[in-house]
Amino acid sequence: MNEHELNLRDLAARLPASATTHMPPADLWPRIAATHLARHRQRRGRRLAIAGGALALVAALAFTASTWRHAATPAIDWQARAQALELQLDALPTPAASEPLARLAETELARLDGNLQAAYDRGAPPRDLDPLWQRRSELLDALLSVRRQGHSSRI
Amino acid sequence: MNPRIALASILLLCSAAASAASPSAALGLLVDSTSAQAAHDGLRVLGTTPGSVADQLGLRPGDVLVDVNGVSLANLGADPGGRALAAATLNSSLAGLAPAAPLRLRVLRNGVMLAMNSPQRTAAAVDSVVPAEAVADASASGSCGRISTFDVAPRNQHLYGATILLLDGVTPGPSGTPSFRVSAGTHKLLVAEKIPTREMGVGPYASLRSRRDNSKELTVTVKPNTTALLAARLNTEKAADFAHGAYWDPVIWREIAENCR
Repeated sequence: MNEHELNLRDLAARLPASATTHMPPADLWPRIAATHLARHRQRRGRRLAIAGGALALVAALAFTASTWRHAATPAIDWQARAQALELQLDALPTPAASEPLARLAETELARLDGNLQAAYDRGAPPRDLDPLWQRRSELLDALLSVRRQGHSSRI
Repeated sequence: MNPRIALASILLLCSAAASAASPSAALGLLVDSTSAQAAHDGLRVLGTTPGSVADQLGLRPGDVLVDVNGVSLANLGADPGGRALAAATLNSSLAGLAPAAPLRLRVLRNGVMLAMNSPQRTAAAVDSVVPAEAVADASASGSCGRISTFDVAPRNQHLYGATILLLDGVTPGPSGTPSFRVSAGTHKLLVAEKIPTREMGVGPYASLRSRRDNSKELTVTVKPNTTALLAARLNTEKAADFAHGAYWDPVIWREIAENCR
């Protein structure tokens, strides 16, 4: 037997006395379990709080980005644009005879203006009027380009 | 469908739409009828249809229509629906006029009162574009025509703007041109739609669709001295089908006789 084994035997001989002397209190394990549970709950609470905070941050960033984008691209006043184009059209010499494409644009404008007036008559909200003004603006733009081409080709 | 029958149907639709308009709209006049407050001093002119009676009278956006044939349109208050009573008064005044009766308007422009007089004419904008068949056959000696993306297609037929990506395999030019002169005959187009997302009626996610990936081929036979007008037709019943591109089709919605030289 070596010295190491002797020491172990010695220790084993002493152990019962030591164990009885340092017997843990009866409520140790329940206390450990309770502490462990409390720490687990704390960690879970912290994780939830961090996740919630991150979610709120993402939502706030998304909202800020969308409002910034709206602010960065100002809404076009289609009504004002259409009216300005109409004045430009008035300033051009009256064509002796409309080009076929110009007549198509005028026909579609007449139809659109009927719809636009009907929308005003029924008190349509701006969100319904805006697309009609936008289309009017596009058609006036098209008509203007055709009349300008016709005018320049006559010159 | 026979193209002539289709054309006749379109003309009938145009006439019906024009006759269904209010008398002021039939005159080519667009006024702010939203409230009595907006029409306090008279009816504010929002626009006139180019080529209409109102346009030929010289009315402009911003003018205030004070009276029509001696009937005042100022300070009339609101109708039971809260709209400007002046608009209803204008329409009843116009509706009561005989076709040849003169039309006298008093208009306030930049603080100055103007008088405008004209014999009334029917202003229904009937489509008078010459059908292509009528002229193209007669001028078969011409050897060219046009394909145009000029976007004046009627929206009530779900027709919208389109772009030609390739014309017979090459990018057409110059860029920004709505019409391309081509030889008379058959041509192959690759077309992309320009349908506004809000018109699709399936929500904003429609903006995620790829117009280029959803481009489509169209074979067009261009007649001599004829302009073929191209559009994107929205298939409303398949408006959400972006994966297969079934939501739209390229179409030649109109052919008009036009010298291509």
